[in-house]
Amino acid sequence: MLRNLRPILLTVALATCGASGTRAAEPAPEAVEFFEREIRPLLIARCYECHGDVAKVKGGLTLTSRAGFLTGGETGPAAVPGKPAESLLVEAIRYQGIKMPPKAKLPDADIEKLTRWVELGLPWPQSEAKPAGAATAEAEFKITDAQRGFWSFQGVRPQAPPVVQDTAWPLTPIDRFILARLESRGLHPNPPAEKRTLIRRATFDLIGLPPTPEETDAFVADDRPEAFARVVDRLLASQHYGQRWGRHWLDVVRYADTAGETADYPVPQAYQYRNYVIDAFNRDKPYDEFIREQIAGDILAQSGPRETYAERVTATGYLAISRRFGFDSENYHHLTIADTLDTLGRSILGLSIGCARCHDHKYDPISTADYYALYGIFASSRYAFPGSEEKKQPRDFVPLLPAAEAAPLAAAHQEQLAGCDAELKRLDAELAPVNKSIKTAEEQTAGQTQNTAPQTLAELKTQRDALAATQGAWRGKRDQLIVAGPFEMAYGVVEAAATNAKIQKRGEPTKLGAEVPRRFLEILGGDGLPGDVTGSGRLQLAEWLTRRSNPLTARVIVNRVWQYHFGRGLVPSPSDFGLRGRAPSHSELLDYLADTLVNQGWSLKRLHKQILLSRVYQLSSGDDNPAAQTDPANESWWKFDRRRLEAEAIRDAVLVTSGQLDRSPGGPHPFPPRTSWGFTQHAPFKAVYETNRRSVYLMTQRIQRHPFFAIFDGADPNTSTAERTLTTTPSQALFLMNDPFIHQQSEALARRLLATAEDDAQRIQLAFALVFGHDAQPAQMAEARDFIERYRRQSAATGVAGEEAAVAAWSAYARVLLTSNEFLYID
Amino acid sequence: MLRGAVGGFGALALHGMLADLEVPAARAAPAAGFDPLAPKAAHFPARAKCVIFLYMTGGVSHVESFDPKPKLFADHGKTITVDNWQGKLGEFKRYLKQPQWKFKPYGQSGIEVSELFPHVGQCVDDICVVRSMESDHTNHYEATLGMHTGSFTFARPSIGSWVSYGLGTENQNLPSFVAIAPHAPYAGAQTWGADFLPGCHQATQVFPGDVPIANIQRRVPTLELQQMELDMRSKLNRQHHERRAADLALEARIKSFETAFGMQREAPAIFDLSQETDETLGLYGLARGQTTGFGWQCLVARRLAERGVRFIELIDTGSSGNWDSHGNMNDHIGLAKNVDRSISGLIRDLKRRGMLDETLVVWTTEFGRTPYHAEPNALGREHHHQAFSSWLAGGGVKGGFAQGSTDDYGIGIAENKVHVHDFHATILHLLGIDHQRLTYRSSGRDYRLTDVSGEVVRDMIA
Repeated sequence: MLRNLRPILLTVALATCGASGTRAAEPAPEAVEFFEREIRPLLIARCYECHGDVAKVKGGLTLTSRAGFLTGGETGPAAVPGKPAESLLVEAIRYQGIKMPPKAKLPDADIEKLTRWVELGLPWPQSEAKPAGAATAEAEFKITDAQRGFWSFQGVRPQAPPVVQDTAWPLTPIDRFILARLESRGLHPNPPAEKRTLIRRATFDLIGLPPTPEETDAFVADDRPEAFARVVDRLLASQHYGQRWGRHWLDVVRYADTAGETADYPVPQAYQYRNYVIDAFNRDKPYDEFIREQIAGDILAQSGPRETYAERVTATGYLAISRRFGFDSENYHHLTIADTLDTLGRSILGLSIGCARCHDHKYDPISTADYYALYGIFASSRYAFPGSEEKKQPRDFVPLLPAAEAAPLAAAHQEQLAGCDAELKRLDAELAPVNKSIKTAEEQTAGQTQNTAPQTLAELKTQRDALAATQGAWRGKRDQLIVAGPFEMAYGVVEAAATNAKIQKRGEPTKLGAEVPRRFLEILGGDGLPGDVTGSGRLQLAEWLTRRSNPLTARVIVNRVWQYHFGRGLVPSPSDFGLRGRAPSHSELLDYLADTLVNQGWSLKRLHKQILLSRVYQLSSGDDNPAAQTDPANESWWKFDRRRLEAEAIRDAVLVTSGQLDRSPGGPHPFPPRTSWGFTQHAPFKAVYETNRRSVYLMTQRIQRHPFFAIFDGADPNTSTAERTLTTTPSQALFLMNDPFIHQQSEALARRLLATAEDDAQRIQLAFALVFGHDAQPAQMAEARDFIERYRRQSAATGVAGEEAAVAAWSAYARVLLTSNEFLYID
Repeated sequence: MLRGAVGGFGALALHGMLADLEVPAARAAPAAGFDPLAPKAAHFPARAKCVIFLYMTGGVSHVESFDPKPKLFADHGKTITVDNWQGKLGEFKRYLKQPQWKFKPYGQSGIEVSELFPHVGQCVDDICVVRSMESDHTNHYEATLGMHTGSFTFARPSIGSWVSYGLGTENQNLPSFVAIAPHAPYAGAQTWGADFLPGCHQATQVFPGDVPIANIQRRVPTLELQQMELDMRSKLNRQHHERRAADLALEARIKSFETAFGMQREAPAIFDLSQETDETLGLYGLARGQTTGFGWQCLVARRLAERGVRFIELIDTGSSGNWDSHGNMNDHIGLAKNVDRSISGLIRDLKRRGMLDETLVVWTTEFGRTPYHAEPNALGREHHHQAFSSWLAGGGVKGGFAQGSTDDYGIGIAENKVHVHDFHATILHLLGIDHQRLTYRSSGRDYRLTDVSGEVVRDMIA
């Protein structure tokens, strides 16, 4: 990390040494960036508890400004610009006299950073009277120049790929950015990956499944220069591409099929949004349009064309899937809007807007007023209501057809329902006298026996049963009508009465402050709504978010795409482009990609292709390179990072290898009909629906996690997941050893091998081809044969009959392969 | 910086570095890999090494368990006006309702405990009762979430996950955090979830009964066969690893199978109570051969604690059929009987084995119950989060001590309020953790169990 800084530091030193005195002029932007990226967070984290804006400053030393360092405290100045050896600060952090921080010595890397900072003359943004960290809720919020100057808020600048020495190496402009850095650090990139490795990597990467043996062989045999481009085109055209990349977006928007309030009500219509996302990726919907539809699809739908109506309305599921809270969730709608804003900030802008709900953001230029300006937009929108413990029936779902078409259907539906109700009422009226007669007859029978003929009583009962049966049928019909509805509806959002929100002091909806007009974030322009606007402002917000002058939306998505391809973003904090996030390792490349994306009509498929056809994507993952010593974290991308398959990819790859994958797209889940819903926090909704479809189609609950995803680090269905933190645990190993799913699939693979190949050698080769995409080496062949034979004999010895012993042996072997590292990791 | 060196653990190590908690093992020897469950040094010397967290679902009546209110007996039936009824603000006319069970003093300390808990009462000299607990929410779901995660609205990591993250665990053959629960309480698995912390810190659920842990039982017919399979996998993995020797994540996964195999072997021994004496079983109120019930949960908890599991949560009932006695307080009788003897058995057993000093036993519920009712002579009680009782035992707490108090009727807190955040801060403190320093960076913010508050209640510490 630190080594990576050297080239920058060099320029910083040059830029500032002319001014290195006690009174530095405005330091160079690189110096400020270094300060903001490395030093300020360190000061905040390690020093300000005692030397920040606190009531009792220790030793009279306040380190919240450059002047603070120069003036110092009781023991004199804390630092002398440009002279680490004479600076108390450096002595203290090295534990050479006073020991600071007192609790624990800083890591060496931090000590080195602070020392360099002193060496550079304590660069600190001049214009800043007070550090951002000191902003308080009471103080008037003002965006500082330093905040405005922060890298992520600068416009995206077109970048010319840099000049490189080795002009033969770059295949694409991307490579020139990467190579320039490698050359400046004196590093040499790895050789290209083998073709079998590359096609496995690209196939998992783009469609989340392994390549078939035929696909691998065809690619290996294809000597044409465009062989790999053909593979990439084929994969991007596959329906499985959207299932893979749509899932990435579903992570970011914390998709779930339930509402998340106390009884976790199911939302049978949520799947439409899921499928909308998958389709949008498959059809390469321009990313800006994709965002606009999710924010304001219902409004956009009104202006046609008619055939996009349903799709656009469905897109607002992005908003509707916001979490619901409490047992009467409408009482907590302010938290639902908070959840919308939090997710919107992280997913689209890479900003933690949510932090400004209770107070002005402590680090980033987002005020509470900003927050409630956006809040008003969503408070002026109506969210579909999924049902809750207190109000068990859903309502306000959004018709998937225009109002003019919906009205007659709704009326007809009402009429049908009214018909049912009338019939039920009529039957009630008819039933009442019969019941009464039965009662009278029975009383009489109990008293004196002779008056009523038993025959009559029996007839009455027959009549009653017939009526009850008819009534039951009508009730069933009525339930069906309710469940079906007049037309298909989406879990979406529509316009409601437009209103500005008032600031909720400390996030309390009962403690209201000043009203804030609806508008965009100040740092991104602060545009207000035009005077004649009657709507919520979502349409305008959709535009503001996706206009060219907003640098964040494009940067954030290209960074995500890079991250999913390489395992790590150019900005390593993909949902936080703020001060507390991490700066880009290759800021020019980030801007180059963002600029290109917009110029290419926001096409993600073109972006994928650009990245995949680069040399850097195609590098081997080997560690046999001196760069492994200099840059072990691979920050300069001298190799491809090996990585584990995510939960979905493991399950899907196992299913496809065993031959059991159902490739058809998923539809609705088999939830119980809404007329039967009575979920409460005492008996919340809880279900797991098995399917052999791709994992993206598994039903995802908020309160209960799907057991497989809980074990294999699936996305959090409650908050935006920017990165899967992949762990290695014994629970995963237990699953792979003993879970019925693995046993079923390995047996299916075993039977597939036994049925398709003619002898053991062929079976083993087929197994290797299916699972790993290459041949078994002679030694591996021998080991496999030996294992299968020993296992078979051992099984037979325990009483398993001949053929079944063979199946058991092959199943065990299949299980070994399907749970091996070579299968679970991508090189 | 560690990312390249440790592959899959990279993100994890990075978060570890950003967080305030010191991770000496990772700093000292990054080449050895970063095992997120390896034991880690506490911030300062710990009083307790492990926690057994007894959770009573539904809201136990404080005025009928650990908070004696003589005046409430005396003033039964009198009307009062309350300003906060189940979280609703206003003026509510209510009838005081006398406790259904009498209290009596126990032990040398003379702390009073109600007739519902005669066995726990016998242990009171080891117990620090907290009579001034306060929660933020009146609803089960939110209050349960709050008691477990410190967050009353949004899901966050459970206290057990935080402890696992902060301290790692002693026995690498067992999970660091175990929840022994026949059913999930309110808010479901979120109560023991790791949320944004790495998944290895979530609880492994142990179900009372014949298959206590999912997939812990071998599915192939014999151990020999499974051993063959394990060897074969290991052989393949080693061949694969030879060409990728620098990748510690691959090494870690190879090891995880060995650990899982170890768990599979060790687990039956944990759940096999046949070596326990009749006297010990009796202490927990267990019949020989019994594999369910709270007594079983308590005894298994002791056995897990002995084997170095860091945090063991026991949940008595699920989200129905629990202490939520709106209709009739008599429901408390069976529920108390279900846990009383077993809990006292656990404390006594830990004590005689010399384990109580380093084992912190926590007993709590999500809130108390109203000392009054809207109807005169109502049989039940409603939710009351403004004041309720919990207790701690062992692990460095002051035994035979009552912290804080409520007013004459048990409605409001009279002195020394202990908010859920304070309760959590104190538990972490006893484990040697500074609750303000145990943080984790998620989406630009450093989160902690106690949110932005919480104070260690020093009076409760011996």
